[in-house]
Amino acid sequence: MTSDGSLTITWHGEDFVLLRERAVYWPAQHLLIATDLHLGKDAAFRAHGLPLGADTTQSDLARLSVVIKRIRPDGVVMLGDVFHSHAGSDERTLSAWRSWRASHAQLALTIVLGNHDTAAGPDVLDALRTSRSDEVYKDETYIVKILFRHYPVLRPDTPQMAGHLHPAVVLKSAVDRLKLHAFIFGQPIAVLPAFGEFIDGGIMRLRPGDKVFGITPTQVIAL
Amino acid sequence: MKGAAQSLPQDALPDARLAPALDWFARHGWRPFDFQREAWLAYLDGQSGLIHAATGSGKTLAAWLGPLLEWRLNHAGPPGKLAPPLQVLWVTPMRALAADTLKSLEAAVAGLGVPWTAGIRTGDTTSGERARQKKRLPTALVTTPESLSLLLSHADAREQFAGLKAVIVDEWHELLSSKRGVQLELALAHVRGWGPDLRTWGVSATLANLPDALRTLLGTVNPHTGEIPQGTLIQGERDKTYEIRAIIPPQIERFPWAGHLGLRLLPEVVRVLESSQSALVFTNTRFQTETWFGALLDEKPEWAGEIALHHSALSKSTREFVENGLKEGTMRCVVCTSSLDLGVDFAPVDSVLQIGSPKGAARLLQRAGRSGHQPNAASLVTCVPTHALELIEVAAARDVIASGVLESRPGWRLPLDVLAQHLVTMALGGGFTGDAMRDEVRSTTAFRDLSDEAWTWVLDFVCSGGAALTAYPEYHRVERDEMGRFVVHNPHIARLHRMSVGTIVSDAMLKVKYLKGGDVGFADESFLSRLKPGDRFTLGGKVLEFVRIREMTAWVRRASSVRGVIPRWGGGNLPLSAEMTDAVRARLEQARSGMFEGDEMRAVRPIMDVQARWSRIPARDELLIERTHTREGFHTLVYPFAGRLVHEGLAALCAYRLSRVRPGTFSISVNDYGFELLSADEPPLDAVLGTLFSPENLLDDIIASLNASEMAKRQFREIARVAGLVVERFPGGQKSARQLQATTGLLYDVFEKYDPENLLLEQAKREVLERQLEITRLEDALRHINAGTLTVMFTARPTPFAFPLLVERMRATISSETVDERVRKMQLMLERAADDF
Repeated sequence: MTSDGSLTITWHGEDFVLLRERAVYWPAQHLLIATDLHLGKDAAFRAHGLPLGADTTQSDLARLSVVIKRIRPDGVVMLGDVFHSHAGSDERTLSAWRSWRASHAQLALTIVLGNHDTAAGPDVLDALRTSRSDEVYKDETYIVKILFRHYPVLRPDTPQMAGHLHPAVVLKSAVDRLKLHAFIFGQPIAVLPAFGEFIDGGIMRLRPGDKVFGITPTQVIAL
Repeated sequence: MKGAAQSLPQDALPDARLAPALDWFARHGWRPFDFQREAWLAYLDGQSGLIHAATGSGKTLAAWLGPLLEWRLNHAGPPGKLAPPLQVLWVTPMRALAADTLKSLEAAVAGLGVPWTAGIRTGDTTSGERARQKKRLPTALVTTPESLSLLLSHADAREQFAGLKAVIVDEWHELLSSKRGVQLELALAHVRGWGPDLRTWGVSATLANLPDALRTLLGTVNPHTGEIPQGTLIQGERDKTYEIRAIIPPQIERFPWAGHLGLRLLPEVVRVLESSQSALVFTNTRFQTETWFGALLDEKPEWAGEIALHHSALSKSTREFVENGLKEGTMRCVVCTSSLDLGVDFAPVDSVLQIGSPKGAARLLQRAGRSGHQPNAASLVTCVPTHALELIEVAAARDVIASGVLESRPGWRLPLDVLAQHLVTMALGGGFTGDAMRDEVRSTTAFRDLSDEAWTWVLDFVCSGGAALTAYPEYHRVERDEMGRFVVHNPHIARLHRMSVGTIVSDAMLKVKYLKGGDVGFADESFLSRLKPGDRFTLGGKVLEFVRIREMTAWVRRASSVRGVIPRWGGGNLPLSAEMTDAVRARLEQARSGMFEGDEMRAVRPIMDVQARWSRIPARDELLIERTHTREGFHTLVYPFAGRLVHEGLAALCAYRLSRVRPGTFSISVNDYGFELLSADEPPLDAVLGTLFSPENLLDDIIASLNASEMAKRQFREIARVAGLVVERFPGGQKSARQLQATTGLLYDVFEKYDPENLLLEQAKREVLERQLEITRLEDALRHINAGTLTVMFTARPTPFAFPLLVERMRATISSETVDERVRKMQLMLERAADDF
């Protein structure tokens, strides 16, 4: 186990470091990849009258900053659903995002929009384009030979990294049962866990050949 | 008009006030029972009260004619053009009962010549009818606790209820020990504040704690006079006779030691059905219902059309079809769950069967009471054991009934989630002032001990979200208007609240529909989501082919006659009552000394002999622990005979105390007789045996073990829903609700982390202790254990007592190891298929 609990794997000839904070670092490109932050989900609860005191928007962005400080990437790639919904994207949520962006002004930001981002409306789309250098893509973008999308589509022979599914797995023995957020690395699709803390993991149907990496509170483990 | 057919000698002088009722009875050749006269007179004297009697004994008329007679007394002249405004609310726990109740109420209205209208207001009421009622409510309104709360959430409620004379609560025993009962208590307290003379009457089955039931119904204080309300308890007819039989397996040696289906006795059950006109076959789960229905059809294909099944996951039209068949006597047999425990009498039913454990004596009586409505007929129930030990329970049930000390139903104490919901409802319904509402809430039995701190917390919680939301000044649910009244301004919040009024929290259910149109019923989302297109499953006795899930609906088509998987619905598994476990222990004590009285005990003797030979039959003051080792691991089996809920708590406690000596992971399985701890390593039992059941640090240890076992999280689901922390997803619900999904486990984690002072978390823990673990019973059990002796037996193989525990499917896990350790220890059996969690 590495000191920070990460695990390095090779996928399509590239090394990737799987981080226990539910993100991936791509050393060759100096890129940090995270997906499904769902910023403002807490605010969406409040906007509907549900009394949720947690500021998960702020704490998720703070967690991301901690990872950035440790890894020191050149850029961050977000695979969509950065924001949760229209109702949750109030001024507090949007300004939390803007000030986070301002505090990492030197970072190159690449965003592939997710279904939640699009549905959240023009204010969110504007907020996602805060800096002129940011690259925002509607459906997908290539970095080197890897296709980055929000939700995966089957395209044989194209290595593809996506989010959207919030994968989790269940471990089971005769006496125990445990659910873990997970990275799924298959051929040709890799699916990353949701970075947002206030997001449930969904149990995925695995396909033959899928490699699964579970996330415990301290480390990433190959399963 | 059931129950009025028999006549009794009447000593009382006829009271002239009763004349219209007596005339109506006389026209039909009926004579009222004494208790009916008693109830009518008490009502006319301005009293409130509780009428308790067996089902089908004329309780409805006892409660209903009082208000009609009073109207006749006060209104001699010709009726006015318009029917009088709302006079009586009739609250029923089941909306399915509303239509039949309405019919009997209307018959009496016509019979007594009273110019009243009567109507229904439930979740099934059409929007057209609602609109008519919005203008003017009928004179008598049949409704449910939820619909009553909804009526009170409208600003004109007070005006509409201005003429209200009485609220009559039917089947009060059903509501009493549920949060629905608390919801009703709060609504009643509110309505009472509007009219000084409002009378409250309840109708109930017989309970051990009737005075409590009466007090809870009436409230602790009259808001106008400050007096403690004194109600009248009216006892119905006692002379109904009950007979409890069991089907004795022909070969007990070959009868299973464990199981839950009991299909081995199918031929005997068919024989009982053949000799009866019309039978109800009660089961304990919907799964059993589907299985038995299929088995009966396989055995007797010629009965197709004459037998049916009934449970709450079936569509309304199917249920109504079956109920009508029962009333008309065209059904030979209906296999059902508690969905038919209550309700109108099915006169043709002459036989009741109970598959599996009766669980409680009062419950068995209630079910037995569904038969024998013909004059002078006894109520007969035939118990069908599903495994050998259940024969003892039948004998025990008969013992309890003979002793006359039936189970009681405790009310709830301080459920803040219900209060939070009620306060929002009240803020919608015209608003309230803080002090007056606090006093009103405290006039209910559930909240009589509400502290000022808790009151302030709940009020703050529904207004600004509580301390944790101080960072969000823009957040408001309930606001204060310029007069200082608490109101709801935001129409969106109002709509969302009205959609989720109520305290019934079901598992996430999806509608099941035919592609070609037509409802089949409901099934668990977790079950349906595991199906692949083309998979077959059984629902409502029909084999269906799964096509797809879309828009909260599972679309299916009829499959050819191949059998399908039967969905397992979630839901509570009732524990064996304390009265029953005591009686079982008494029977075991007898068996230990070689006394086997009665058919059931004689039949089970060979099994008891095996238990005595391989291990032992524990004495009444002895706790038996069996240890054995199998391929699965090390089994520690403990038999306190205290009911499954207590065993869940004891099992968690033992696992926790064992794992404190040496970290480990235990898989737990429980039933009504005991529990099993299964572990991969040998547990350090000898090291802790002296302190394993010590009452010292009991609460702390239980709470600590609960945190590990996540029971509080599960309980939080209901609380979060009732208190309005989450929005229930339901078919046809608003799209926006989809943005608000979070499993309650996740929500609980978030609250623990960011809002640990939230009283609802406390409530979750308390409810787990009081309701799920029956802490009082658990403490009794521990006292019993500590006062007695403890015997540890090493057995070569699982004994008759152990066997049912080993095959119990529902397993919980307790662990003191870290997640990493558990992952490493587990065989890394990754589930390759999607699964619910």
